[in-house]
Amino acid sequence: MGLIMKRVDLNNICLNYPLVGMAGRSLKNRVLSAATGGFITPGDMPEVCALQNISFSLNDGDRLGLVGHNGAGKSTLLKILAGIYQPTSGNIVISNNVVSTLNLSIGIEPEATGVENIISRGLLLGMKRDEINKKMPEIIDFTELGKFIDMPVRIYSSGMMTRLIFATVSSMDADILLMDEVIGTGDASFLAKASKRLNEFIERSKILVLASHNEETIRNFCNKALLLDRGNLKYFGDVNEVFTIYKDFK
Amino acid sequence: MNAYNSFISALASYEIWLYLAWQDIRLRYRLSKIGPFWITLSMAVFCLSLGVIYSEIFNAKTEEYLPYVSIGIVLWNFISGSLNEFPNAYVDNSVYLKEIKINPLIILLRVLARHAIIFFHNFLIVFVIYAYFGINPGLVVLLALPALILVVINLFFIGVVLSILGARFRDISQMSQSVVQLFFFVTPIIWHQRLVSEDSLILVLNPFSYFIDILRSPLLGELPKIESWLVVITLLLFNAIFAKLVFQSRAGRITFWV
Repeated sequence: MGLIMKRVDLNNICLNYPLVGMAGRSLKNRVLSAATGGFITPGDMPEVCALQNISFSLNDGDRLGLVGHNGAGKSTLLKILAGIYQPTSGNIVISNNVVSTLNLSIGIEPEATGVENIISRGLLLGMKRDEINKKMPEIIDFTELGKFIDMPVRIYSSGMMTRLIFATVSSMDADILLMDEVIGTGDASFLAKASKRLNEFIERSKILVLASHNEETIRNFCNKALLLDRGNLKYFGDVNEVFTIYKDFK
Repeated sequence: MNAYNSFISALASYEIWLYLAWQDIRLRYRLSKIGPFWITLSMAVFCLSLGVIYSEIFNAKTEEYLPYVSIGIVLWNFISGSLNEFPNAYVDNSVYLKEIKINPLIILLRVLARHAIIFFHNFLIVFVIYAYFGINPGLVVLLALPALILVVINLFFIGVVLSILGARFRDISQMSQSVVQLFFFVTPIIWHQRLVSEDSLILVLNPFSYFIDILRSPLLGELPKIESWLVVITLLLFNAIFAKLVFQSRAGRITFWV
């Protein structure tokens, strides 16, 4: 009956990013400009066109890799999918329960304990308090932090910190998972355990969108790819095809 | 962004903003013995010194002036504290807005909730004053509760506007701080309402004199003026409409500004 739900559907998405300079930030300058009939002006707000006419859709089971140079618009596209940026024009339809692991270090409160940071991070990612409490023992167990879990995270080493965040984020159940580079743990002895957990985390999601500079990573996790170049969609489809084209304009 | 839906969903996410607001308070006082009661203590010292010194200066009876000024200061501290922080709400929390999908109103409610928690700590001072001066405000004190709710909702709607303006124009924060400071002096808090005539413009045109009246009068066992209630309710309607318009048209841009 053709009832395959398009879970992600982007139609002609454009995003212009306003560059708010210091002058444009001041209301005083605005008033001055209006009062002098524009004689003294702070200058117009320039806009950067970050994405142009992006259209594609994804269904359950799709693992999409975003490929492109720095500044091609990969992260911007992820942020649009995450709902952080609202597109300037175009339509976007996306099913609920998107989890983005774009920046892992945000919202870490150095004075709060490990447990408190798990709670606040979980809440910010959209979990309910009950759900967090249920997952808490498993998360704590995975971090291998022992008694440190009740100490302020400012005393943690960077490895301990990553373990804490990684364990929390990867305990989520996401329908749609967005990643800017694969989340890693850095700790060699921890690596095998972490990569198993990461794979399970990705398996659980119905759709994955992953931006990466690493061809190996994309080939590993993705079954589709999208090539971006200066805000334009160059190709959407097969992974091999994308890398062939990508190598051509390197 | 649809203002109404965002408002409802932000209220429904009370777990987030309540937790973060409590955490702000807990962390600030974690390493001290009496914890968040430092808030109460420092406020009490301020009220006591102000009450004693100014009752001398104004030649007023301490047992009348001290309760009046203390309750006024506790209430004003809540109103001004929130207003001063609103313009910076999104700028200070830009990391959240830029990196995760979060309803901006959740951030606003966190700020408001934090100031409400501080206010409840300070409110202990009112009970101490009742006990020390043997004040029994009577049943009229119950009017303070709906008044508080009305003021909080008003503050929230003002916050919606100020936080968005403050994200777009960074000098809003400086301006509003000066304005709030000015209102501290023209609102009858450290001086008694009786000192100016009832139709004095600094009372009539000052929205905060109505806020303070509906809150402080019942706490002192007096009936607030009916006009005060009417003005605060009217302000609520205007603020709500204005907040809705500003939020609807500008909330989607906040992420680009901070």
